[in-house]
Amino acid sequence: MRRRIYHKKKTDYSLILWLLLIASVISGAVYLYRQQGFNPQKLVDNSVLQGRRFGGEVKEVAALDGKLKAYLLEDKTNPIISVDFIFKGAGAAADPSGKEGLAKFTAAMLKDGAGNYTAQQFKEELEDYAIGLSFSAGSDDFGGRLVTTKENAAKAYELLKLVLQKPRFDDKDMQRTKSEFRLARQKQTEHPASELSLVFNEELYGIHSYGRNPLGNAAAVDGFKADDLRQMMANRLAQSNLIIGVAGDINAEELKQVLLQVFGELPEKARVNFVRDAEVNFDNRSRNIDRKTGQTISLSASRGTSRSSADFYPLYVANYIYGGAGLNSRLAQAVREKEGLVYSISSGLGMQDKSNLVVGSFSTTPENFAAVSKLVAAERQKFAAEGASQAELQQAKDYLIASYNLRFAAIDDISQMLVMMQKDNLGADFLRKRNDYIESVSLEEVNKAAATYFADETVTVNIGNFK
Amino acid sequence: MNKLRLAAALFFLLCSPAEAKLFDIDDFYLDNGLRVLVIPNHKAPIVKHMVWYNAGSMDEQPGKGGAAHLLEHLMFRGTEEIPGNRLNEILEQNGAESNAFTAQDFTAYHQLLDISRLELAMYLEADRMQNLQILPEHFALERDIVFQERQQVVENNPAAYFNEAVRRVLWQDHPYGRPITGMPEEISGLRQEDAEDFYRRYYAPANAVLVLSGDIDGSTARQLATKYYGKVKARPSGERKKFPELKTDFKSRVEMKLQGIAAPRLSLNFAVASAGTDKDDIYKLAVLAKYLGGGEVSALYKDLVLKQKAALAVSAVYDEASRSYGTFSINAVPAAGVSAQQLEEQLRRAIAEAVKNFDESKLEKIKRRMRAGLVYLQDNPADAAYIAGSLATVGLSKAEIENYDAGIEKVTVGGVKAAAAEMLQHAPQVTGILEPLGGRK
Repeated sequence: MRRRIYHKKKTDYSLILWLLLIASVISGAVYLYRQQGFNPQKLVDNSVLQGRRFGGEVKEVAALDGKLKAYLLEDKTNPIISVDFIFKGAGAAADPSGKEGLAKFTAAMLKDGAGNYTAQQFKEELEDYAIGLSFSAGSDDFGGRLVTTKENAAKAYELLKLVLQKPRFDDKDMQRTKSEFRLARQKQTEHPASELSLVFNEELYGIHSYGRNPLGNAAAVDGFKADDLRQMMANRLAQSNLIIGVAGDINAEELKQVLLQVFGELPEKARVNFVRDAEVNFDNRSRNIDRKTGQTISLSASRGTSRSSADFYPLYVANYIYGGAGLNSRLAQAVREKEGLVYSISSGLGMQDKSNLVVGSFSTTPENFAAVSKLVAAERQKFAAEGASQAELQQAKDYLIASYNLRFAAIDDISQMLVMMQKDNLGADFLRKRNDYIESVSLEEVNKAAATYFADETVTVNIGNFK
Repeated sequence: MNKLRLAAALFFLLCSPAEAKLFDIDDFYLDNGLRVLVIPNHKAPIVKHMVWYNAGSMDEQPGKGGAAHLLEHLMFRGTEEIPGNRLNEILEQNGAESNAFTAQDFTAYHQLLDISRLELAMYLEADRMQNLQILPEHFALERDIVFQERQQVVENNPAAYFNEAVRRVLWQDHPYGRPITGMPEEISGLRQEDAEDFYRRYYAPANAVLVLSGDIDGSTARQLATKYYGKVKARPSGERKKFPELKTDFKSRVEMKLQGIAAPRLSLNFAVASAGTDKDDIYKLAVLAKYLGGGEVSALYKDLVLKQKAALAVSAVYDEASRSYGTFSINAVPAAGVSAQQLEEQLRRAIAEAVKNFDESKLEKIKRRMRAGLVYLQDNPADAAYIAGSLATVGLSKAEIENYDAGIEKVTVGGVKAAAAEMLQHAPQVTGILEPLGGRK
């Protein structure tokens, strides 16, 4: 009996030991497994897909004794080519008064025929050869983009050259485009967000040309004649203000020929209207536009900095932390993720040639508006006063550096980037240096930018329900 | 592979055209039923990683409008292992552009990433495929956020509000008639169980398609998909609803005057075949859309904008990527001095004439143009992932996606005319007219 009890006891004891052992092995395994799972850095470091680089190198290609220059990123993955170009300073802000809308109107008319091709024939030709050709006018610059297959590239260059040299501007196409502009101006007021952006520019810039409607006004646009467009092109689209970026299946030697062929006969010197710096009076004023809408939308701006300033990278990173990081930004965390008061809230840098802003925006239902405004003001104040933490800075840098290669997804995004690199004087080796620029930003610099730019006075315009 | 399947595969290879495939897809299934599509593109060391669930707003239970979309939001709110905002933080630290969307037929989660982060993203995505943990406080917050989203996207946009009304009439009691966001009062009435129920029903590996598009080859993809997604337990997927058949031969109208609208517009909307219902018809309707209203060289543009000057814009859009019916719409904006009703008359005449005049040479031109543009689809890995993913999710096979141009090639003049006649005469259809209400907003 005793033996049995003893035996039993002994058995019990060993069973417990075994169970404990098994339990600890299991929990240890689970722990290790979890540790693996919880360690994203390890997953990345050990990935079989580690260590790949984007191989492309940006080259500068020159033609016509250096009068024509382009950045080229050759990529033979797909047989397509994208050519982006801008004429600096030739955009909407340079439209003379009385000719408001001329840059955008010219951009819209440039696909309406050239040389012997009527508008219809020209568009059929683009379709038949699968050539994408578009023109646009921003506030500062006048731009164009040509996307073509390698197979049809010769045809594409020929058509682009023809447009730049011999656009038709036939009267019936002018009339049709004027109607399209009337429609576009009408539609600007249909959505509260687009009405707000027009009023916001007026409020910020007043009589500066940035304050104008980029689509012009009825009196000016309806009065445009083909000669206005021709004169605009002769004055503003020249070799001296031309910047070109090319990506895709084309080599430097081929590109040189294309530059000569397409842009070689443009006027040498541009004569663009001087546009003065926009001086915005940031005095914390706020204006409300009363509309019956589902949500009230708010736009707010304060002083920013230029791309070439020493403050640029610190402010870029600071803004990212404050309102640029999607759901993880301070604004989104405070107002959306923790309170559920908005769907969209963000801030960004509004950089134009003659004005640099930090812009914040959100939209929310009327009953939330006061609460959101208060939260935003508090976040801004706190950011200016205390700046970011080391962890936030590291998080921002990690994102900006790890997302670096995403810019090479689409060939036309690459060619556009090559244009911006030249416009901002970043140099052909910018892509190699860019991550170092981000890496070198210090917490002190970020916090100085936060204190400088997020404590500044603002201008605010809201549209929505105020009665 | 047994002999019969081998023979079938050989037969298929011999029959299919030898020319280049659209995406060069590698297509396989994991043991748990997950379908994987790999689209190699080695331009840059990046990848688009997408998981498509074959479930969208149309699969919601009656009265639970918005549950699919709300669940999509909650998928960013954490699992047991990776709680709260950790998913968003980890993805951000790793440079991902991460997002998701809900449609009527499907819901997709996606990231554009540096290729070195793909394994990480696969780990996270596989984790939330089976371990989602919804906390009551997160549920309450996200319900408020999707309510705000609806206000921002629909109630703040008069044109979107109108389109919702048109869809309600076109689809009658078919679930396509319900807004993806849910109605405002439905959103407010959703409970946590509704989102959990949808997750349990439909977020099973066998009901999903994984797309890897970018700097990866088929064999690495197979190895990694097995490593990360292979761990997800197979489980039954919710029963597929039978979609109600629409009454045919019904023609309806929605005329709406809205404050805020400044320019009138007109649309003809038809319920037609889709990739999910009739794979043969989708090519004919794609050609028809391109011919009637594909840009400023289309038949309707030439007639109504250039010749008659009755319209300022006209376009035709065909959406074939759905499980139940597809949608074909023709949209037009009247010129100044022309009413939407007058334009409607002109538009109907112009469509009839264009269909009548459709011939061999016009068909050849359309085919040539559609073919010439296909190469661009191979440029951006994100575009390729979206196209292949949506088509695969609604039921197209790899061969059908790859040989899209062969499908177009087979279209005949008679086929297009018959498809047009069927649509114009027998398809359920709604004419929509949106006009200004006048006065200030």
